[in-house]
Amino acid sequence: MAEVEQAAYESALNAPLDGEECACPSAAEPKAETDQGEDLWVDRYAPCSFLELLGHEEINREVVRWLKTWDKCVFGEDKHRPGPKPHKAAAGKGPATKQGADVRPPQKILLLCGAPGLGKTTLAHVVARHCGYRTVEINASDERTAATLQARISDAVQMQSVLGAGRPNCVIIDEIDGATGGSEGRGAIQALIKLVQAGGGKRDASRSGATEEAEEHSEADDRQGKRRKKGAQPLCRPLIAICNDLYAPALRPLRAVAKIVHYKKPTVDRLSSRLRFICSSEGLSIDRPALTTLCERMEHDVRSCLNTLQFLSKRTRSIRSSHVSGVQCAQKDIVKSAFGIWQDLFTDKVPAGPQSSSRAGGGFERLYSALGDFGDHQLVLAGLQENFPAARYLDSHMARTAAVADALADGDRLLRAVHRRSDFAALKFAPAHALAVRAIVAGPQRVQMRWPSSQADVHRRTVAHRALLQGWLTDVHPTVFSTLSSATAVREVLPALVRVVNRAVRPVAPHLFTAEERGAMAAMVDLLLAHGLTLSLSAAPATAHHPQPAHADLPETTALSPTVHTLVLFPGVPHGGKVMPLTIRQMVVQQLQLEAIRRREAVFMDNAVGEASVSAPPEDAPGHGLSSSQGAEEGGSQRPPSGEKRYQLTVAQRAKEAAGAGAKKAGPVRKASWLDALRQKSERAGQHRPKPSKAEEAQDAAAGKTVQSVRYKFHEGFTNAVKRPVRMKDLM
Amino acid sequence: MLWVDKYRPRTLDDLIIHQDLGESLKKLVSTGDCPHLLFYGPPGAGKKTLIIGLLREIYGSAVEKIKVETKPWKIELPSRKLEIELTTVQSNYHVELNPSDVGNQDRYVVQEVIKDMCKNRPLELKGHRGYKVLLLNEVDRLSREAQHSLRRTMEKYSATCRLIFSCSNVSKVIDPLRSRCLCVRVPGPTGMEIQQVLQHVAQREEVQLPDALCQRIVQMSDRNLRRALLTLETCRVTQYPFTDAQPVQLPDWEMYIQEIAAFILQEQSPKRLYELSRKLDDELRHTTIELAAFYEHRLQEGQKAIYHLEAFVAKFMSEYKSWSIAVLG
Repeated sequence: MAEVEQAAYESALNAPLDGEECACPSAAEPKAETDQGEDLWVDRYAPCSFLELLGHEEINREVVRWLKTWDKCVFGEDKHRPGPKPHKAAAGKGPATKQGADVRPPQKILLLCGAPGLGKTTLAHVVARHCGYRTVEINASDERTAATLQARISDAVQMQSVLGAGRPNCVIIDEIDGATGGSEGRGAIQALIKLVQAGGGKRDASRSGATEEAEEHSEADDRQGKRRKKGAQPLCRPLIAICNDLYAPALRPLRAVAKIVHYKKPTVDRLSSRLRFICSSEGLSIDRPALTTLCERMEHDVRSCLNTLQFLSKRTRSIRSSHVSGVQCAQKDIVKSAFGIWQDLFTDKVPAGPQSSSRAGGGFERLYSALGDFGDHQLVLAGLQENFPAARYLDSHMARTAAVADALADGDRLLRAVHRRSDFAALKFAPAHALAVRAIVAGPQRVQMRWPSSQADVHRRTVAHRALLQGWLTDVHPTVFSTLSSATAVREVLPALVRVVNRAVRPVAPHLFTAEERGAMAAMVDLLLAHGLTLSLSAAPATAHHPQPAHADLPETTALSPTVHTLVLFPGVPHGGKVMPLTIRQMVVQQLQLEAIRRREAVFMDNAVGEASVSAPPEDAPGHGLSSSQGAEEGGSQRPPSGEKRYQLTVAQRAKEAAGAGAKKAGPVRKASWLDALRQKSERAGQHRPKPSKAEEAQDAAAGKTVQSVRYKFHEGFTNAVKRPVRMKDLM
Repeated sequence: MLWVDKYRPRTLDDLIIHQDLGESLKKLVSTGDCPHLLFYGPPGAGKKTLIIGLLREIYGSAVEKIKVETKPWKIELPSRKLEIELTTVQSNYHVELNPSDVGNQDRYVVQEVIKDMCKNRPLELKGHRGYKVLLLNEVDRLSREAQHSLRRTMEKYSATCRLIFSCSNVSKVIDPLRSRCLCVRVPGPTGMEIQQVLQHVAQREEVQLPDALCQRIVQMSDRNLRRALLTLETCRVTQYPFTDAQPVQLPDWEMYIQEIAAFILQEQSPKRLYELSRKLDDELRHTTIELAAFYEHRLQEGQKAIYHLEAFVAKFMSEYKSWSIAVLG
C-alpha cells in the first residue's frame, strides 16, 4: 500500500508540471490495481490529480486559490514557482511565528459544502496534495469532542510527519456537520474557532513575548493549562472543513469566520463521459440513455453512480436503461430543500410522447416519497398556496383554480384531523393533496418561487393586534370592561367609538362654548375616561405612532392613544368620521387629565370615609389605590406646573365662589366658566358610579367638612412662600 | 360612556326586552337556591345584561363594586411549571373570567384556577347567600379537554359555588355540561323590540328619532341590540338633527367585506385570487366572521382559514364566471 501511496504522491507532484500527461497515470493505475482483486470502483477510479477532478472548474480553482494564500505563511516568502518544493519547507512551522507581520490569509478555514457523493473529500485531498501538503484527515469516525479535536488539530499543525517527505500538514475535517450536534459538538466547533482565531491581533503587537503571553493566558484560564498553551499558538496551517448541510445549527459560528465554497453537481456531460471511460476500462458496454438515466436518478452523485455500475456489472456486461430504472436499491435517500420540492411540483419536464406515461408514473411515485420524506406538509401547502397563482395553465371557467383551492383546503383539513386525533399514520396521505395540485398546475416552464411568508406575516400581525387589544382592555373602566369581550370590542364597539369620539366643538376658547358644546366636551371626556383612552397629540395622527408603511395608507381619523383605532380601520375603505383639529384635541386631553385627577381624588375621599364607615374595597382599578398623600403629590405633578396658571386657576376659583351665590339666584348663567360645567358634570358622574348611596352621602358630607377645614394663603410676588399641601380639588 | 353602557338595565326590573326571562330569573332567585346556569344566544341579545341583573338580584347592589385584576397564576404540573396570565373581574361575591383567552392552556385554568377559587368559601356576610358565583364567558370557545374537566368541578364544589356560563353557540358546549346547567336561551331581540329600545334611549337623551331612520337602523343591526344602539349614537354624532335620508354607517369591516365582494365580481382570474389573498390576510379575523357562515363547516375542520376562504372565493369565482359566460355569451 505504501507503494501505491507513494505513486499517488508522485502523480500529484507531477500534475501541475506536466498536465497533459495526467490522464496516463490514472488510466494506468486501475490496471495495476485490478490485480489486487476486488475493490470499490469508487476508490479505484478516484481522481488523483487536479485536472482529473470532475466538478466545476471554477470551484476547483477557487479552492486552489485559497490554499495558495497560505503559501506565504507556510512555505515562506521566497517561493516563486507554483509547484512547491517540499524540501524547502522542511523548516515546518517556522516562518509564520518568526516573522513580524501576520502573513496568514484573512480566512483561515475553508468550509466546503455540497450534497453527498459529489467529490468534496476527493477535491480537498487532491488540491491539498497538489499544493504540496500532506493531508491529515479527521472524520466522523474519530472521536470529536472539543478536547480531542483541539489536541489532534494542534498536533497536526505543529508536528511534521516523518513519512511525509517533509511536507507540511493540511488538516481536513470531514463531515463536520454530521457528528457535531448537541452540546459536545458545539464545544468542538467552539474549540475549532478558538484555534482559528488564536494569535490574532494581539500577537502582532508583541511578537517577542509570545510564549509568555500564552502562559499568562493559560494561567488565567486555570484548568487545562497545557492544552491551552498549544491552542494559543497561532494557526499556521490550512484547515479545510467539509459539510453537507451548510445551515446546520452547529455550524453557525463557523460560517462567520470561514471562507465558504459551495460545491455544485458536476454536469451530466462530464459525469457521463467519465462514467463511460470507466465502463470501457472495465470492459463494460453501456448505452447513452442508460447513463443519462443513471445520472438523473442518482442526482449526479458520482459515488452512488459508480457503486450502482459496479453492482450492475456483476449481473450483466452490457447495461441498458431498463436495467438502470429497474434497480430499486439504488434509489437515493436524500431530503430535498423546500424550494426543490415546490419546483418539482410546479414543473413537469416530461415531454409529450409515447413513453411519457411510464416515466410520469415513476415520477409520481418518486415525488410522493420525496414529499413524504420532506415531512413539513404545512410548509409544502403554504408554498403551493402562495405560488400557484403564478403558474400558467389553461383555465377558462376558473374551475381548475377552484379545484386547486379545494385540494389545498382538503390538505389543510387532513393535517388538522391528523393533529387533533394524533393519528399520525394518516400523514402518509398528505402528499396526495400536493400532487393533486401538481396535476393541474405543473407545466414545462419554470415558476418564479417565493418563500411563503404571508402566513407568518399575518400571524405576527394578529399577535401584535391582539396584544394591543388586550393592553387596551385592561385599562378600560371595570363596569365597561365586564361587558366587553375582545370580539365584541373589535367588531361592534370600536368602530362606533372611533366615530362617537368626534363631537362637534368649535376651536374657540373654552369660556365661549355654548351649552351644547360644553355638554359635548364633557361627554367626550367621560367617554374617553370610561374606555381608558386619550387622544394622541402628535401633528400627523395617523402616521406618527406607526411609522411602518402598513399604517400609512389607513384612512385618516382622530388618533386615539393606545392606537386601537388602527384595529378597525381598513386601507382603502373610506372612513366617514371627521378628524378633530389639534387645538381641540389639546383641550380635550387637558380636560381629561383634570377629570382623571378629580375622580382619583374622589376615590381617596371615599376611602378615607370608607375606612370609618364601610370596610369596602376600593372601587377603582388597583393601580389607583394609593394613599392620599401620594395621591396629592401625583395630582400635583400632573397639573401644569407653571405658577401663572395656578394663579389664574385660583383666581377663577375665587371668582366662581364669589359669583356662586349670585348665580344660583339668577338661574343658569350663560357665560359661566367652563370649569363650572365640568364641576357639575363630575358631580353627576359621581352619582353614576356604582356605589351604595348611603356611603356616598356620608362621603359627600365628610368631603364638605374637609374642604372647609383646609385653608390656604396665596403670597403674591413673594418667593419664600410657605409651602403646604393643598388638595387638588380646592384648586380646580 | 357610550349609550349602550349608559342605558344598560341594572336590575331585572328595568328590563325593556326579555321581561319574561327577567321574571323567571327573579322567581328562581327567590326560591333561595340557584342552579348552574348557561345563557346562550347571539351577540347583542342581552345575555350579559341578564347575568348582571341576576347577580344584582342575588347579592344586591354591593355586587356592582367590581375591580379588574390581571394576575399571573403559577401552575405546577408534574412535568413542568406553567405561568398563565388571566384577567378577572371580581366583586366580593362573584368572579368573572374568560378562560378561552389563554388558548390551548385553558384546561389548566379550569383545573387549577377555578378549583382554587371554588375552594375558598365566601365569608359569611349577613343576609347573603352561602355561595359564590363564577361567571365564565365564551365557554363555546373552550377546548374539549377544558370542558370535560369542568364537569367534575361543577359537581364537586356545588356547595360553595355556582357557575354561570355564557356563550353564543350552544352546540359547541359538550352535552354533559349542558345537562348540568339550567339552559337559558336569550333570543336576539325582534325588530319591534329594538325599535322600542331605540326610542326609549332617544327619549332619555332628548333626541328626536324619526321612524324611518329608526327602521333603517333596525334593519342593518342584524337583530343585535348593541349594534343598533352604537349605530344610533354614531348617527347622532355624525349628523343631528336627524333626517330620514341620513346614511347609516356600517362598521368598517363590513364595508371592507363589501369592497372585497365587489372586487371579486370585477374580474375572475387566479391572479386576482392572489391579490385578494393579500387583501384578505390582513383582516382575516374580521372577514372570517362574515364568510364563515358559508364555509363554516370546512373552516371548522381545517387548520388555517386562508385555505378555506380562498377555496370559497375560487369556487364562487368559478360559478360566477361560468354563469356570466352562459348568460352574456
